Amino acid sequence: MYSYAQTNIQLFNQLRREGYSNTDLSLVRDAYELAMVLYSCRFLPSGRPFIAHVVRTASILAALHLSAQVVAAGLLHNAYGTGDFGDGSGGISTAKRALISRVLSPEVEEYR
Amino acid sequence: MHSYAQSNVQLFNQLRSEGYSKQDRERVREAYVFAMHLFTGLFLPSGKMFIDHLVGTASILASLHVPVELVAAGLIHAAYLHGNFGGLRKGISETTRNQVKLAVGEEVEKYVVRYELLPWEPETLPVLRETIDKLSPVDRNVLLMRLANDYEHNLDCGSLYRDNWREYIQRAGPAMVSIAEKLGFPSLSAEMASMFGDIVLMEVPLEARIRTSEPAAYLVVPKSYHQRFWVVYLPKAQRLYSTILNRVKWRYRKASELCRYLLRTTY
Repeated sequence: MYSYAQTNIQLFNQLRREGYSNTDLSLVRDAYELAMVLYSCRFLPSGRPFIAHVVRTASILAALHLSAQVVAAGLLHNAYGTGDFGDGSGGISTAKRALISRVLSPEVEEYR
Repeated sequence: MHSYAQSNVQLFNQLRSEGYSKQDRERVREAYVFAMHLFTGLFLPSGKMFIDHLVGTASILASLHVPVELVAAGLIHAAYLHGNFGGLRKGISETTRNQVKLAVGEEVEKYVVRYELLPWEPETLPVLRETIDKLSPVDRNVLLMRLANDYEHNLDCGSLYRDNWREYIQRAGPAMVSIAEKLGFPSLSAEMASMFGDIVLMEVPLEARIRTSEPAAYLVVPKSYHQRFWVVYLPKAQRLYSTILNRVKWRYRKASELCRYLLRTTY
Protein backbone atom coordinates (compact mmCIF):
# COMPACT_ATOMS: atom_id res chain seq x y z
CA MET A 1 0.00 0.00 0.00
CA TYR A 2 1.18 3.50 -0.78
CA SER A 3 2.41 5.33 2.30
CA TYR A 4 0.78 8.76 2.26
CA ALA A 5 2.19 11.88 3.89
CA GLN A 6 1.02 12.95 7.33
CA THR A 7 3.17 16.05 7.68
CA ASN A 8 4.10 18.92 5.39
CA ILE A 9 7.68 17.64 5.32
CA GLN A 10 6.60 14.23 4.10
CA LEU A 11 4.36 15.91 1.52
CA PHE A 12 7.15 18.16 0.21
CA ASN A 13 9.51 15.17 0.03
CA GLN A 14 6.85 13.23 -1.88
CA LEU A 15 6.30 16.10 -4.34
CA ARG A 16 10.03 16.31 -5.01
CA ARG A 17 10.21 12.53 -5.47
CA GLU A 18 7.27 12.59 -7.86
CA GLY A 19 8.90 15.24 -10.01
CA TYR A 20 6.86 18.33 -9.19
CA SER A 21 8.74 21.53 -10.08
CA ASN A 22 9.94 24.18 -7.63
CA THR A 23 7.09 26.44 -8.84
CA ASP A 24 4.66 23.65 -7.92
CA LEU A 25 6.33 23.29 -4.52
CA SER A 26 5.97 27.01 -3.97
CA LEU A 27 2.22 26.88 -4.68
CA VAL A 28 1.70 23.92 -2.34
CA ARG A 29 3.84 25.61 0.33
CA ASP A 30 1.63 28.75 0.06
CA ALA A 31 -1.47 26.57 0.46
CA TYR A 32 0.05 24.85 3.47
CA GLU A 33 0.89 28.18 5.11
CA LEU A 34 -2.74 29.23 4.69
CA ALA A 35 -3.90 25.86 6.05
CA MET A 36 -1.73 26.43 9.15
CA VAL A 37 -3.72 29.59 9.88
CA LEU A 38 -7.15 28.22 8.97
CA TYR A 39 -6.90 24.88 10.75
CA SER A 40 -4.58 25.62 13.67
CA CYS A 41 -5.81 24.08 16.95
CA ARG A 42 -8.46 22.02 15.15
CA PHE A 43 -8.70 18.27 15.77
CA LEU A 44 -10.80 15.46 14.37
CA PRO A 45 -12.88 13.40 16.84
CA SER A 46 -10.17 10.71 16.64
CA GLY A 47 -7.72 13.21 18.17
CA ARG A 48 -5.89 13.54 14.88
CA PRO A 49 -5.00 17.15 13.95
CA PHE A 50 -7.11 18.44 11.07
CA ILE A 51 -3.96 19.55 9.26
CA ALA A 52 -2.78 15.94 9.17
CA HIS A 53 -6.02 15.08 7.38
CA VAL A 54 -5.67 17.79 4.71
CA VAL A 55 -2.00 16.91 4.19
CA ARG A 56 -2.93 13.30 3.64
CA THR A 57 -5.67 14.31 1.21
CA ALA A 58 -3.12 16.36 -0.75
CA SER A 59 -0.69 13.46 -0.62
CA ILE A 60 -3.25 11.08 -2.16
CA LEU A 61 -3.84 13.58 -4.96
CA ALA A 62 -0.09 13.96 -5.53
CA ALA A 63 0.30 10.18 -5.67
CA LEU A 64 -2.19 10.26 -8.54
CA HIS A 65 0.05 12.80 -10.31
CA LEU A 66 -2.59 15.49 -10.42
CA SER A 67 -1.62 19.10 -11.02
CA ALA A 68 -0.08 21.24 -8.28
CA GLN A 69 -3.27 23.33 -8.27
CA VAL A 70 -5.31 20.27 -7.36
CA VAL A 71 -2.79 19.24 -4.67
CA ALA A 72 -2.91 22.77 -3.22
CA ALA A 73 -6.72 22.68 -3.33
CA GLY A 74 -6.55 19.35 -1.46
CA LEU A 75 -4.82 21.17 1.39
CA LEU A 76 -7.71 23.62 1.59
CA HIS A 77 -10.56 21.40 0.48
CA ASN A 78 -12.63 22.03 3.60
CA ALA A 79 -11.64 25.67 4.12
CA TYR A 80 -15.20 26.97 3.88
CA GLY A 81 -16.57 24.25 6.14
CA THR A 82 -13.95 24.02 8.87
CA GLY A 83 -11.47 26.86 8.33
CA ASP A 84 -11.30 29.65 10.86
CA PHE A 85 -11.37 32.90 8.88
CA GLY A 86 -11.89 34.95 12.02
CA ASP A 87 -15.36 36.26 11.13
CA GLY A 88 -17.26 33.68 13.12
CA SER A 89 -19.26 32.47 10.13
CA GLY A 90 -19.24 29.15 8.32
CA GLY A 91 -19.67 28.60 4.61
CA ILE A 92 -18.68 30.46 1.50
CA SER A 93 -18.46 34.24 1.35
CA THR A 94 -17.01 36.71 -1.12
CA ALA A 95 -14.35 37.82 1.36
CA LYS A 96 -13.21 34.26 2.02
CA ARG A 97 -13.10 33.46 -1.68
CA ALA A 98 -11.10 36.62 -2.30
CA LEU A 99 -8.59 35.66 0.41
CA ILE A 100 -7.91 32.23 -1.06
CA SER A 101 -7.79 33.63 -4.60
CA ARG A 102 -5.31 36.27 -3.49
CA VAL A 103 -3.02 33.94 -1.52
CA LEU A 104 -3.09 31.13 -4.09
CA SER A 105 -4.92 31.72 -7.35
CA PRO A 106 -8.50 31.85 -8.65
CA GLU A 107 -7.90 28.43 -10.29
CA VAL A 108 -7.09 26.80 -6.95
CA GLU A 109 -10.03 28.55 -5.31
CA GLU A 110 -12.36 27.18 -7.99
CA TYR A 111 -11.57 23.62 -6.81
CA ARG A 112 -12.50 24.25 -3.13
CA MET B 1 14.44 1.78 8.26
CA HIS B 2 11.50 1.72 10.67
CA SER B 3 8.46 3.76 9.64
CA TYR B 4 7.52 5.89 12.62
CA ALA B 5 4.09 7.23 13.54
CA GLN B 6 3.29 10.86 12.86
CA SER B 7 -0.28 10.87 14.13
CA ASN B 8 -1.98 9.54 17.25
CA VAL B 9 -3.92 7.01 15.18
CA GLN B 10 -0.70 5.59 13.74
CA LEU B 11 0.87 5.54 17.21
CA PHE B 12 -2.00 3.58 18.75
CA ASN B 13 -1.89 1.10 15.86
CA GLN B 14 1.84 0.73 16.44
CA LEU B 15 1.40 0.20 20.19
CA ARG B 16 -1.12 -2.56 19.49
CA SER B 17 1.16 -4.28 17.00
CA GLU B 18 4.19 -3.98 19.32
CA GLY B 19 2.29 -5.77 22.08
CA TYR B 20 1.59 -2.96 24.52
CA SER B 21 -1.39 -3.87 26.72
CA LYS B 22 -4.75 -2.12 26.83
CA GLN B 23 -3.78 -0.44 30.12
CA ASP B 24 -0.54 0.76 28.53
CA ARG B 25 -2.42 2.23 25.59
CA GLU B 26 -4.79 3.96 27.97
CA ARG B 27 -1.83 5.65 29.69
CA VAL B 28 -0.50 6.80 26.33
CA ARG B 29 -3.96 8.08 25.40
CA GLU B 30 -4.07 10.16 28.60
CA ALA B 31 -0.67 11.64 27.76
CA TYR B 32 -1.82 12.42 24.20
CA VAL B 33 -4.95 14.20 25.42
CA PHE B 34 -2.77 16.25 27.76
CA ALA B 35 -0.39 17.01 24.88
CA MET B 36 -3.34 18.22 22.78
CA HIS B 37 -3.98 20.86 25.44
CA LEU B 38 -0.37 21.84 26.06
CA PHE B 39 0.83 22.06 22.48
CA THR B 40 -2.17 22.92 20.36
CA GLY B 41 -1.43 25.50 17.67
CA LEU B 42 2.31 25.06 18.08
CA PHE B 43 4.43 24.60 14.96
CA LEU B 44 8.12 23.94 14.35
CA PRO B 45 10.03 26.34 12.09
CA SER B 46 9.76 23.66 9.39
CA GLY B 47 5.97 24.08 9.48
CA LYS B 48 5.49 20.67 11.03
CA MET B 49 2.99 20.55 13.85
CA PHE B 50 4.68 20.19 17.22
CA ILE B 51 2.26 17.48 18.25
CA ASP B 52 3.40 15.41 15.25
CA HIS B 53 6.95 15.71 16.52
CA LEU B 54 5.84 14.51 19.95
CA VAL B 55 4.02 11.55 18.44
CA GLY B 56 7.11 10.71 16.38
CA THR B 57 9.31 10.81 19.48
CA ALA B 58 6.92 8.49 21.34
CA SER B 59 6.82 6.20 18.31
CA ILE B 60 10.61 5.91 18.20
CA LEU B 61 10.62 5.01 21.89
CA ALA B 62 7.83 2.47 21.44
CA SER B 63 9.74 0.81 18.61
CA LEU B 64 12.55 0.20 21.13
CA HIS B 65 10.05 -1.57 23.43
CA VAL B 66 10.72 0.72 26.38
CA PRO B 67 8.36 0.89 29.41
CA VAL B 68 5.06 2.61 28.68
CA GLU B 69 5.87 5.42 31.14
CA LEU B 70 8.72 6.44 28.87
CA VAL B 71 6.51 6.34 25.76
CA ALA B 72 3.99 8.56 27.55
CA ALA B 73 6.78 10.89 28.65
CA GLY B 74 7.92 11.09 25.02
CA LEU B 75 4.51 12.54 24.16
CA ILE B 76 4.93 15.45 26.55
CA HIS B 77 8.72 15.63 26.76
CA ALA B 78 8.79 19.37 25.95
CA ALA B 79 6.06 20.28 28.45
CA TYR B 80 8.31 22.57 30.48
CA LEU B 81 9.94 24.16 27.44
CA HIS B 82 7.00 24.83 25.13
CA GLY B 83 3.88 23.65 26.96
CA ASN B 84 1.11 26.19 27.36
CA PHE B 85 -0.15 25.83 30.91
CA GLY B 86 -2.23 28.97 30.57
CA GLY B 87 0.01 31.08 32.75
CA LEU B 88 2.63 33.66 32.03
CA ARG B 89 5.78 31.78 32.82
CA LYS B 90 7.02 28.69 31.10
CA GLY B 91 9.36 26.21 32.65
CA ILE B 92 9.45 24.12 35.78
CA SER B 93 7.45 25.30 38.77
CA GLU B 94 5.53 23.68 41.57
CA THR B 95 2.26 24.53 39.81
CA THR B 96 3.20 23.18 36.40
CA ARG B 97 4.74 20.05 37.90
CA ASN B 98 1.54 19.38 39.82
CA GLN B 99 -0.51 19.78 36.65
CA VAL B 100 1.68 17.27 34.83
CA LYS B 101 1.59 14.82 37.73
CA LEU B 102 -2.19 15.08 37.91
CA ALA B 103 -2.55 14.40 34.18
CA VAL B 104 -0.03 11.62 33.64
CA GLY B 105 1.20 10.48 37.04
CA GLU B 106 4.45 10.91 38.95
CA GLU B 107 6.31 8.15 37.14
CA VAL B 108 5.91 9.89 33.80
CA GLU B 109 6.52 13.38 35.20
CA LYS B 110 9.89 12.44 36.67
CA TYR B 111 11.13 11.66 33.15
CA VAL B 112 9.79 14.95 31.81
CA VAL B 113 11.36 17.10 34.51
CA ARG B 114 14.73 15.36 34.23
CA TYR B 115 14.57 15.75 30.46
CA GLU B 116 14.27 19.50 30.90
CA LEU B 117 17.22 19.60 33.30
CA LEU B 118 19.52 17.46 31.14
CA PRO B 119 22.52 19.54 29.96
CA TRP B 120 22.26 18.74 26.24
CA GLU B 121 24.64 20.73 24.06
CA PRO B 122 27.16 19.52 21.46
CA GLU B 123 29.88 20.34 24.03
CA THR B 124 28.30 18.29 26.83
CA LEU B 125 27.56 15.17 24.76
CA PRO B 126 31.06 13.64 25.04
CA VAL B 127 30.86 14.04 28.84
CA LEU B 128 27.43 12.38 28.91
CA ARG B 129 28.75 9.56 26.74
CA GLU B 130 31.64 8.90 29.11
CA THR B 131 29.41 8.89 32.19
CA ILE B 132 26.61 6.65 30.89
CA ASP B 133 27.72 3.73 33.07
CA LYS B 134 27.36 5.86 36.19
CA LEU B 135 23.82 7.05 35.34
CA SER B 136 20.73 5.70 37.11
CA PRO B 137 18.23 3.68 35.00
CA VAL B 138 15.89 6.71 35.00
CA ASP B 139 18.60 9.03 33.70
CA ARG B 140 19.59 6.51 31.03
CA ASN B 141 15.98 6.50 29.87
CA VAL B 142 15.95 10.30 29.86
CA LEU B 143 19.06 10.23 27.69
CA LEU B 144 17.30 7.82 25.33
CA MET B 145 14.29 10.16 25.18
CA ARG B 146 16.59 13.03 24.27
CA LEU B 147 18.12 10.94 21.48
CA ALA B 148 14.63 10.06 20.23
CA ASN B 149 13.76 13.78 20.20
CA ASP B 150 16.76 14.73 18.08
CA TYR B 151 16.32 11.75 15.81
CA GLU B 152 12.66 12.63 15.27
CA HIS B 153 13.57 16.17 14.25
CA ASN B 154 15.56 14.56 11.47
CA LEU B 155 12.96 12.06 10.28
CA ASP B 156 12.09 12.60 6.63
CA CYS B 157 15.12 14.94 6.54
CA GLY B 158 13.01 17.41 8.51
CA SER B 159 16.08 19.21 9.82
CA LEU B 160 16.81 20.43 6.28
CA TYR B 161 13.59 22.44 6.38
CA ARG B 162 14.87 24.64 9.20
CA ASP B 163 17.95 26.74 9.82
CA ASN B 164 21.06 25.69 11.72
CA TRP B 165 20.16 22.03 12.12
CA ARG B 166 22.65 20.74 9.59
CA GLU B 167 25.45 22.42 11.54
CA TYR B 168 24.06 20.99 14.78
CA ILE B 169 23.99 17.49 13.31
CA GLN B 170 27.55 17.81 12.10
CA ARG B 171 28.68 18.82 15.58
CA ALA B 172 26.50 16.56 17.71
CA GLY B 173 25.65 13.66 15.40
CA PRO B 174 28.68 11.38 16.00
CA ALA B 175 28.35 11.68 19.79
CA MET B 176 24.61 10.91 19.61
CA VAL B 177 25.29 7.81 17.52
CA SER B 178 27.79 6.49 20.04
CA ILE B 179 25.50 7.32 22.99
CA ALA B 180 22.73 5.21 21.39
CA GLU B 181 25.23 2.37 21.00
CA LYS B 182 26.40 2.66 24.62
CA LEU B 183 22.83 2.73 25.88
CA GLY B 184 22.33 -0.67 24.25
CA PHE B 185 20.34 0.28 21.16
CA PRO B 186 22.54 -0.63 18.18
CA SER B 187 19.63 -0.52 15.70
CA LEU B 188 18.82 3.07 16.69
CA SER B 189 22.50 3.94 16.52
CA ALA B 190 22.77 2.52 12.99
CA GLU B 191 19.61 4.32 11.83
CA MET B 192 20.86 7.61 13.22
CA ALA B 193 24.29 7.23 11.64
CA SER B 194 22.71 6.49 8.26
CA MET B 195 20.27 9.40 8.47
CA PHE B 196 22.81 11.94 9.68
CA GLY B 197 25.12 10.89 6.85
CA ASP B 198 22.36 11.44 4.28
CA ILE B 199 21.28 14.79 5.69
CA VAL B 200 24.71 16.33 5.47
CA LEU B 201 24.72 15.67 1.71
CA MET B 202 21.14 16.75 0.90
CA GLU B 203 19.55 20.06 0.02
CA VAL B 204 15.97 21.30 0.14
CA PRO B 205 14.78 23.99 -2.32
CA LEU B 206 13.74 27.28 -0.78
CA GLU B 207 10.31 26.87 -2.35
CA ALA B 208 9.58 24.00 0.03
CA ARG B 209 10.45 25.93 3.16
CA ILE B 210 7.91 27.71 5.31
CA ARG B 211 8.51 31.45 5.43
CA THR B 212 9.08 32.20 9.07
CA SER B 213 11.86 33.86 10.99
CA GLU B 214 10.98 31.96 14.17
CA PRO B 215 14.05 30.13 15.47
CA ALA B 216 12.07 27.66 17.58
CA ALA B 217 8.55 26.31 18.02
CA TYR B 218 5.94 29.03 17.58
CA LEU B 219 2.23 29.48 18.07
CA VAL B 220 -0.27 30.04 15.26
CA VAL B 221 -3.36 31.35 16.97
CA PRO B 222 -6.69 30.78 15.18
CA LYS B 223 -8.17 34.05 13.94
CA SER B 224 -11.31 33.71 16.07
CA TYR B 225 -9.31 33.43 19.26
CA HIS B 226 -7.59 36.17 21.18
CA GLN B 227 -4.67 35.68 23.49
CA ARG B 228 -4.89 37.43 26.82
CA PHE B 229 -3.07 40.76 26.69
CA TRP B 230 -0.82 40.06 29.64
CA VAL B 231 0.10 36.60 28.33
CA VAL B 232 1.20 38.10 25.00
CA TYR B 233 2.80 41.38 25.99
CA LEU B 234 4.20 40.95 29.48
CA PRO B 235 6.86 38.41 28.39
CA LYS B 236 7.96 40.87 25.70
CA ALA B 237 8.33 43.62 28.30
CA GLN B 238 10.20 41.22 30.57
CA ARG B 239 12.57 40.28 27.74
CA LEU B 240 13.20 43.96 26.98
CA TYR B 241 13.86 44.67 30.67
CA SER B 242 16.35 41.81 30.99
CA THR B 243 18.11 42.87 27.76
CA ILE B 244 18.51 46.44 29.03
CA LEU B 245 19.63 45.17 32.44
CA ASN B 246 22.27 42.92 30.86
CA ARG B 247 23.52 45.81 28.72
CA VAL B 248 23.82 48.07 31.77
CA LYS B 249 25.63 45.34 33.72
CA TRP B 250 27.99 44.76 30.83
CA ARG B 251 28.82 48.46 30.51
CA TYR B 252 29.31 48.75 34.28
CA ARG B 253 31.68 45.79 34.23
CA LYS B 254 33.66 47.26 31.33
CA ALA B 255 33.83 50.66 33.07
CA SER B 256 35.05 48.98 36.27
CA GLU B 257 37.73 47.08 34.36
CA LEU B 258 38.83 50.32 32.68
CA CYS B 259 39.00 52.12 36.03
CA ARG B 260 41.05 49.32 37.57
CA TYR B 261 43.39 49.34 34.58
CA LEU B 262 43.82 53.13 34.78
CA LEU B 263 44.48 52.98 38.51
CA ARG B 264 47.08 50.26 37.99
CA THR B 265 48.89 52.16 35.23
CA THR B 266 48.70 55.52 37.04
CA TYR B 267 50.14 54.32 40.36
